[in-house]
Amino acid sequence: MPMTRTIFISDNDPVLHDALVTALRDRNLQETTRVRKTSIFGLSTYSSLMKVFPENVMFANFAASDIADMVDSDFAPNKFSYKDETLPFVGTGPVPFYHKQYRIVLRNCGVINPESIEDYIGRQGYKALAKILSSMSQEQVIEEMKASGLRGRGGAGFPTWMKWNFSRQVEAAEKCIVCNADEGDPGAYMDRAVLEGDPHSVLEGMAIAGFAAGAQRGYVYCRAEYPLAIERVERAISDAEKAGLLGDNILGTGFSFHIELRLGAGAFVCGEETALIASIEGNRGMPRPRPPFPAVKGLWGMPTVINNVETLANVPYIFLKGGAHYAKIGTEKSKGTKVFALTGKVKHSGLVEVPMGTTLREIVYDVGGGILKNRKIKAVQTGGPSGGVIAEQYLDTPISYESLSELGSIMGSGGMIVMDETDCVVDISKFYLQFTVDESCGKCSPCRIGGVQLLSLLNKISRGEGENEDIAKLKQISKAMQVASLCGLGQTSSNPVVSTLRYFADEYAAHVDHKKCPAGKCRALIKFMIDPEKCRGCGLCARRCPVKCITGESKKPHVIDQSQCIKCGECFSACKFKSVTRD
Amino acid sequence: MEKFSSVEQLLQHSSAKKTDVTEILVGYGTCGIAAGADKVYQTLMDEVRDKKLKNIVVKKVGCLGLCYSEPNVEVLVPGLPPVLYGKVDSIMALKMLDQHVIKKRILDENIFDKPYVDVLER
Repeated sequence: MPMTRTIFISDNDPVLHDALVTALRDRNLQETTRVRKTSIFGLSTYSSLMKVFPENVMFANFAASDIADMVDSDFAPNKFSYKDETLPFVGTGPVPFYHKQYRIVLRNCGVINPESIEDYIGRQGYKALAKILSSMSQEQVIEEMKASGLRGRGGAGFPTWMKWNFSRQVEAAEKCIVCNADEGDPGAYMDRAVLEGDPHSVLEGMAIAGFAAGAQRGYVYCRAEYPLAIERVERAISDAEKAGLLGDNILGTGFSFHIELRLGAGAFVCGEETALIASIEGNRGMPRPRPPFPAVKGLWGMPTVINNVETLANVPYIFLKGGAHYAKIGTEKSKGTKVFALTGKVKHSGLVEVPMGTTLREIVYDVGGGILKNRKIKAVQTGGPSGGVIAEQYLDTPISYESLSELGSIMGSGGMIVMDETDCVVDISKFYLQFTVDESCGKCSPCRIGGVQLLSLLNKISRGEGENEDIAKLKQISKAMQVASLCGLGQTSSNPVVSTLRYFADEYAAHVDHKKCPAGKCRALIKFMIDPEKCRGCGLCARRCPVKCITGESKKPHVIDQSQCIKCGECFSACKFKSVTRD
Repeated sequence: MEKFSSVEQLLQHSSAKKTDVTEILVGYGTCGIAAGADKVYQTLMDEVRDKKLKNIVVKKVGCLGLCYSEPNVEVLVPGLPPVLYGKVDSIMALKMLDQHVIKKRILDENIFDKPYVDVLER
């Protein structure tokens, strides 16, 4: 018999669920009606909630004794019912992944076909641009942006309206807009998802910025490692030109705006705006001192507004709904939402967009579903190699540009890596320093030399050769790099070291003073042993050992040859009797 | 796509959704493709064509966000709640088409509902 009806019922009161199941069974409806328990988020003002499909009727605040009547009336909206089509569908399966999310930037991602301009227009696409071109002045556009409170999503959080306004106020024959899509943080892919999922929203944002700043040209600077994003952006530019939404005399209003794509070879430093400009100009991607700021003198000497992908994707929404509406979302100084690429030791890794002011704990536990293997969380890393780690005790801090920087990290572009108790802070710092040492352009000495020195000290500590003064040296070099480096890369690349020293000084001390790695990551500091009392001589560890350094007779305790052991930990995870110890 | 020559023409352009059409959205970003979304998409397209199914649109869309359960497919059948399936392979895609879309019975596996509010309607 086919299912004809699905009922979602809140799981806070098992009595209600049981009453519903009983009522259905009494009427012989259990075969045709599916009952699902759901967690109700965001509607906690109701003591009970039930949503019935396909009727799409919501019942609220009913008692167990009402349920029989509701079934008898065939779920017709009656005196118990709360029929409200505008209420969100609040049922959930096993995953509350979307519940705390507020998807503005990702409003079309996963909803429209990114290769169809028709789909984008069907979702009010280019209507914000049309509204602006037909009824607003440059000043009004900038005022609206100011009211929205939008700040740069590339990481630094500079007010977007100010950038636009600086450029607008400069007298110049030509100006331009650059979309910074040179996303390079390890583990970050927010911009790629937006360009792949909704390229037109970025193009529309660029055209609006172009109108406000008085620019006629725009460039999307995207790394060549994003072939699908490039393909879709190219397609989007060409479709928008054919539809008269980009190019000359847009919608007959006299405003012209041309967008071109420029590919980067994937150097991390090219995300820095002056290095990015050098790269587009065909030069080696190296930063230069500021001022002059690009908004005044940028690409080929033109006043240039450089905005990040996510910033631009917010823009059409702001004009569809109004700056004041946008400013209602978020915290006092950080408005709107932020997209994070949630990765690491979290159960539900993914691309999440939450209002500013959401706490890190909500992101990790409510959206991300908690830590893999139910281990204990140690820290969250935000902002990539320029950011820092935030220790577990600060996870309840509401996210904003200010709060994260007070904690020694940064908002950054949106990478968020969750670490558990098996991650070692020295090892993490080594990873990020290796990255920035590889990516330093070498122009200024604090970054070029300082990075290498920091890395060699960290390597020394993780080899168990650390000395007491090394910690002081780490701090001293970090400080020098922060103060004296030319660009953001060098100024921030010591952040992973500084922030881990701040929260996990004891772990550094364990490495230096006691030559121990508490997380069991630094190979030189750990030793695997087999406890002869517990070993049953099953031989599993010997078979798993990649260097065959475990020997022993069957059913007798086995021994690890320490001189051959590469400390891979295979025996440790293989043993079923917990006889392998890690010290 | 026509060329819009005035603001009014764009604002009046309506691409009203047909209400009787089932939409099957396949998350088709780089990550989805790497996890096998291309096979799932092809299977669905072939099946819809071979069985000559009417009023069903199989669509490539961007990232649905749930990286841990790629490939992701969202099924929007008129009259049923939107359902997001994760870790979909060709076998499950066919089952989904047969059970959920044609017989209107939501599968019992790999379900991740999608309950967030569309900001454009908020």
